[in-house]
Amino acid sequence: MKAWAAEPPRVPFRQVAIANRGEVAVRIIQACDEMGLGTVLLHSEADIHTRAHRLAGKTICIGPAASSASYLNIEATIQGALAGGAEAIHPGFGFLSENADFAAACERARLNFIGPPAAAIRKLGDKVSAKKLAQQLGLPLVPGYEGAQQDLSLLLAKAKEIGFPVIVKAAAGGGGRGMKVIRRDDEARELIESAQREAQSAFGSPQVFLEKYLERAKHIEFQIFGDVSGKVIHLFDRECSVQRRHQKIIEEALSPSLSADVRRRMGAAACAIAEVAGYRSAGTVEFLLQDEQFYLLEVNTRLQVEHPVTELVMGVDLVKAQIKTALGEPVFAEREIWAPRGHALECRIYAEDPETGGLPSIGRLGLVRWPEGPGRRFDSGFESGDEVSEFYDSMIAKAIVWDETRPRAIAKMLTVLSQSIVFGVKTNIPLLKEILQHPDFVRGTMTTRFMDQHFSAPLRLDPLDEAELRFVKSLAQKTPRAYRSSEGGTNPGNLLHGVSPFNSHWRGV
Amino acid sequence: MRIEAEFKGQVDVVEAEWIAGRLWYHWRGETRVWEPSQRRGRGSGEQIAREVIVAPMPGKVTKILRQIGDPIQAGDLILVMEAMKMEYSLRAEVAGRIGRLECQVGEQVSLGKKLAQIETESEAGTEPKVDGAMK
Repeated sequence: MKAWAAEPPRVPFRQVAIANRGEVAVRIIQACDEMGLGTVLLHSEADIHTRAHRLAGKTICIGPAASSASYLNIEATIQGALAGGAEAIHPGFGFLSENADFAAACERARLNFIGPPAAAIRKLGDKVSAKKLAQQLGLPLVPGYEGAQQDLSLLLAKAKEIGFPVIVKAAAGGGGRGMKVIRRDDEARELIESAQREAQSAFGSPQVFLEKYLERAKHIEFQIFGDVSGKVIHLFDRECSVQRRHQKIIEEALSPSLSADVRRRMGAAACAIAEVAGYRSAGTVEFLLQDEQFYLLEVNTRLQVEHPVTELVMGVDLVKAQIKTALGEPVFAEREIWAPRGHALECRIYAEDPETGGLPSIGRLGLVRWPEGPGRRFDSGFESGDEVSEFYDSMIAKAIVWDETRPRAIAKMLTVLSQSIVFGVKTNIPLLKEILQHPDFVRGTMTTRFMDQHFSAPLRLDPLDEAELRFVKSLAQKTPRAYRSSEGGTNPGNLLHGVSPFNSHWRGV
Repeated sequence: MRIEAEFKGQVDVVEAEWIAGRLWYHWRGETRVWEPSQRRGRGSGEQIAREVIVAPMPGKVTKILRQIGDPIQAGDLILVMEAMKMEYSLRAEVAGRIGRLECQVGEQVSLGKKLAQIETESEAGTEPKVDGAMK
């Protein structure tokens, strides 16, 4: 099926603009470097002292810290890309990555959008339209309401009709923002309104939809890829059942929960919906699985945060595959046999305080150290001396490990987390270690309610005993106060009091 | 930096660093923070009164649900804040009336800023409570 064949021919490019930040910006810059392509980082005022800013070939500040004025600003992004001499844009994930208007605006500006065609984003990225398409194909869906009518009274009535618990979601969303579970009638109004506000602020549209909430479901997703041949293949599955407030925390490939038959049927369903929509580039089809029954959840028309676990078990580079596809080059040989090998795990490192149940922790980073080694990968956007600000989401890094079996991968991850050091902001590392040792996780029987069931209370770290306190006090005396691990770094202090590069908008262009 | 210190007769080598008056150290597989004088109240030195709702993190006030003078029941939602793209609900368990509101919708507030004060009829009350909006 070649639904996109009518598109204008792809122009080759040598310079790629990165419309994103943090670790994914670093990931894209590194892929471009390896392919001999130039890079232009389009960043906000708040992101000067970050790893991506140091690694990019060129940097252009496109606006102030607030995402709405920078990373979500289509006009500023396109102007910045053109001014930087870029001929293509990689949107990463989040921000504008699933915005069909942005993809279309790139095409109009003769910028090659590294991702699916705008039409495919419209068909699949919008959850309501994706569900319609799935219905036409006869794919199983969770009961719900996805109408355009958004009056509060109607939504409340529909929620009651579906039957609690009901989940309310941003129609244009992803990443857990604007998603709430309503368990009782009397909290429905407050939660729907809250979801609408989060949807508006994160995605620019207050549209929400309602869905029956499955209590014992696992979150399983399939990595799909459409290359220039027009064929869509899948690169097997990931399980991301460990979520808190609908934000994924730990992901793995493959899922420990799928029988060969269910895996085959889910994979076929994932490819079918993508091929019908004329999909090209990397994408993810998300499902819920309960009692051997699977339901299509949504399609993410972009690279996924957890793409590294697939890369490790499949031996592929999804970002380079995206770039090659945008260049019009074939990626996958026709007869190649795709077989996953071993097991990969990813832990998202969030800047948050586990003792408060996950409130954001911000500040300037001191020592940051990841224990490199075979089968270990660290995707990180920050280094010592960088500032973790309150303007963006709290993920500062991802630790990814590969080993021959799932138990060995878990053991490796526990070692890695114990040897990882982040000073200056608190992180969820202590929580991650608890999760990895929980019997439900070890058995692979966790559901999307796992965190609510076992980790709803803030973590309690053991207080120091007398001997330990003496040790820490002697440590405090021996540690020189003037020493900074970031000395020699590029951050002169509080970035917001420095000279804004926005004031010299086009300088260095 | 690497520091050697003695623990139960053995010398341990530990990464440690002072940042803004607090000692960060990584010891026996864990990163911890130690404050020389374990202060009460998050971030600020002063004792936080029970009837005061303070910002538990830096962020933006996105909704104020009560006006000055409104009667408050235990567990009522008073304010909604947004930080790092997530919403957080601020509730007070203490019953009384809203005495003062010291923030506005859309205002960017810093950690520990006083946002609202509840006037209680009695002295009894509990600490302002914060929870994730999506429990």
